[in-house]
Formats: sequence, structure tokens, C-alpha cells
Amino acid sequence: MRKTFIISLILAFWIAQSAALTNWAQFSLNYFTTDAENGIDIVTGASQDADHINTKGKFGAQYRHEISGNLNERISFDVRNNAFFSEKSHELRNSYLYNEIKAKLTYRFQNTYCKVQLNNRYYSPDKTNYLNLSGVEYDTQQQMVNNAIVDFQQDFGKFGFNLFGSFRDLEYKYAVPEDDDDRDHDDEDEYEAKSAADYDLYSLGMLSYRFNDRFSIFARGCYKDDLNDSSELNQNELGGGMEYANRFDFQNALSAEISYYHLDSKVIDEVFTHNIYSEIRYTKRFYFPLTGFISVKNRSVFDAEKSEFLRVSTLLRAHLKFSYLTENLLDSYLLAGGKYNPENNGSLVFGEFNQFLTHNIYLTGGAKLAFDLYSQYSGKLEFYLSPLKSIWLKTEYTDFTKRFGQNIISLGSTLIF
Amino acid sequence: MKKLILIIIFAAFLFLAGCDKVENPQFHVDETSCNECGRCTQVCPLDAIEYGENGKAVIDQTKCNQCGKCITICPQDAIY
Repeated sequence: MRKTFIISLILAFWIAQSAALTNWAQFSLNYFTTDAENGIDIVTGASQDADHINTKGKFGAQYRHEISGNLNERISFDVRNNAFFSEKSHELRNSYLYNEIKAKLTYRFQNTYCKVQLNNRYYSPDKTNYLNLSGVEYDTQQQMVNNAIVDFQQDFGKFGFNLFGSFRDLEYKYAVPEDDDDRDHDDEDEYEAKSAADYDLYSLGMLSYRFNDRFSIFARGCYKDDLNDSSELNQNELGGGMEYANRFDFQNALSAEISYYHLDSKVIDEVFTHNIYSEIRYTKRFYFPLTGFISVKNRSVFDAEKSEFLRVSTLLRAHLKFSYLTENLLDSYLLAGGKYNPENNGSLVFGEFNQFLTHNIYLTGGAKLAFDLYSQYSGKLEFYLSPLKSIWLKTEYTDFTKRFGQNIISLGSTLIF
Repeated sequence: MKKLILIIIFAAFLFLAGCDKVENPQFHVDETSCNECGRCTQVCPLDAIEYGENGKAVIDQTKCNQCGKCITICPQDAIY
């Protein structure tokens, strides 16, 4: 599968040579400190290996690059790369070393849309946190994920048609005792690493009918094929619903959706067989400097055994932004918002500001309080050398429910060319 | 007609939001908030998150065990 990675790189560079490009690049050096101690089985991805969680500082680096452009009026492309490295295990990552590349080619002409995308995620081979793969007895470490996506959409008058397919390949290693007989193994057993792969195929078909610009109905079917021998993780979804979207004027917009789907899976609880999804989003621009939106989503199921509706997850989100000093390179603003998600303890409130200081220097600060999970505070000082070049210094402190804290200091640069 | 549809959707939402919750809730991704940064795909210990048809993260419910790592890591707070 390394071939896929190399082919996608070659494809990306070939495309990049053939067209006018827009580049966005960001590089940062990071310094992490944490007061995490041994034995914290955390919700944040920290390794449980005491050797890997120490309270000493550790360095890291991150480089992100995005290239986009058009080959002609109908074909466009987009290539994104994100490379991350840290000296030691990082509480918010699975691996010391990580690289992700996404290459996308899009065709759009009149009523036809087609997308081909290749994704690759590469992890540091031996220093990645353990995975818990369903059906795999031994601890595994992910090495690489390859993902090929094809998406096709076609409109025929008021009818719309969509086909989507995604093939996934997870390359992983697992350790087995060399002397793998029936006796109990102890710590003195020697282990050997074996390589294996896990495959998944996701497919989707959707048919829609648009009554007018605002209102449409749709039917869709999704099928997931766990391409491994067990087929335990196969899944079928079949359903449909209706959508409404209306921009009343420059200041007000409303969208809504309600849909039902029937789920068939061996491993998901039967209560999730009959699913209902509803969403309402209202956007309001009060007057120029003040904007905001409120959005509510609900996922529920109908428990056929007890003949009752049950909530799966509800999201209520509201943002309000006030902009000022708008004559500068960037607007200064105050932003406040919240998210209410009672089922998954995901409720939080946040506030953020961006303040023009002087000579294209901006100060950004923010606080996020997720009541049941963490609180986070950040500050960033950014100097714009030009509208397309900047250097910045950022610090971010996260307190994970008062069990341990982590601070990240980053010095970076952002460039558009 | 449009008002009627909106009223139906709104009423359905209010009704569903008022029900009891399931014993083991699922995590889902708010597609309007997701910025495709991929942090959740990196941190998931079950390899249960991948990109869907519009490039946004999607959680494979057959693999997810609701450990909650993704909800903590998401910079957009897009997981609910």
C-alpha cells in the first residue's frame, strides 16, 4: 500500500505542474509540557506507558501545506498535506510521527459533479498507541490508512442522483508470542510482530426530488461491507426524508431537515434500528457588525420493543460575533457561543477575541469551558508582514477535568503564495 | 405549505428532544461545524472515524465504543 501513497504523491505533483496554483503553507515549532503522571487512563489519547508520559518538556514540529487550482474550467484539484512530529508521546495524538495527505480531483460541469479522492495517513511504525480492533485478539498498532473515494452526482431536471463509494485499508502490526501454544504466557515470552490489514467498503446511493428552490425530498441507502472474513461489522441503512432551505433576505436564513432511516447491523444494539434525525438552523445578521446563528440537531430512535421514542444525541449550538475596527487588514472581533449536548456530556461555552494592536499586529485570546471534560485557554500574537505572510506565537493550556494539564507553546509562520 | 412543513419539522424536533435518552448514546459529527482537520481520525483508538461523501468526518458506529476522545480533541466542537 506504500505504492498508493507514492502514486498519489506523483499524481499530486503532476497535477501541480500543469496548472496555476494557490499555495497555503504553515510551519510551527512546538514545545509541550504536561503534569501528567503514571496510570492515567485518560479520555484524551495519552499513552498509559509511564515512560512516555513525563513531566519534562518535549519539542515538536508541524508542517501543513495546501495546494489548489484549476486545470481548466471544469476540473479543479486540491492537495493537502499535514505532517506532525513530537519528541515523545503527546497526550493529544496517537503517534510521535504522523503524516496525512489528501489529493482530490473534481469535475464540475452543468448538472454533473464528480470527485475522485485519495487519502493516506502514515503513522510512526513502532511508537503509536495501541488500537483495539474488533475481532482482533492481540493489541495492534496502526501503521497506515489508505482511503480511495469516488463521488458522482447528476441532476436530471428536478431529480438528483448521487453515488458514493469509499474503500479503506488499515495496515497494522500486532505482536504474538513466538511460542504460541496453549500454555499461559508470561512476561518472559518473546513476541514477534506480524503485519495485517483491515478493509472496509462504504457505499451510498441517493435519489432526490426538488419541488422548488427551497423544498426537496430524498431517499437514500448506505451499505458498509466489512471485507474481512467475519463480516461482523457489515451495516445497512435505508431511509429518506425532506429538506427545506430558505434565505429570506440578506439578514435571515433558515434551513431544516427531518429524515428516517432503518439500520440493520449485527453489532449495534437493536434499539438503534429505527432512527430519526431532525435539524433546524437559523442564521441572523442583526446589523453589519453583529452576526450570529442558532442551530439545533436531534438524533432519536424508536424503541419498537417498548413503543417509545428515545434520544440518542441532541446538539444546540449558538454563536454571536461582534466585529469592530473593520478598516484594518483583519477585523477585530468579540465572539461568544455555546454548545449544549446533554447525552454525551459535551456541553461547553466559549469566548474569543481578536484585537488589532498596532502596525499589523493582532492579539487573539480565547477560553473554552467544557464542564464535564476539560477547560482550555489560549493566546496568540500574530504579526502580518504582508496580507499573505505572518509570523505568530501561540500558547494553549488545557486542563483535563483537573486530573492533569498540558501546555503547548508554538512559534510559527503562515504563508500564501 | 412551506409553513406547514416547517411547523411539522419543528414540532417533531421538540417532541424528540423531550424524550428520555438511550442507555448508550452514540457520537455523531455536526457536518456544518467540521473543518476536515482530521484530528479525530488521528486520536481514535478504534480506527472508527473516516471522511464521508462531503469530506467531513463520519463515525463508523459499528466500531465506535463511545470512549469520548474525539469529542475532547475536536477544535470545532463538532462532535455531539
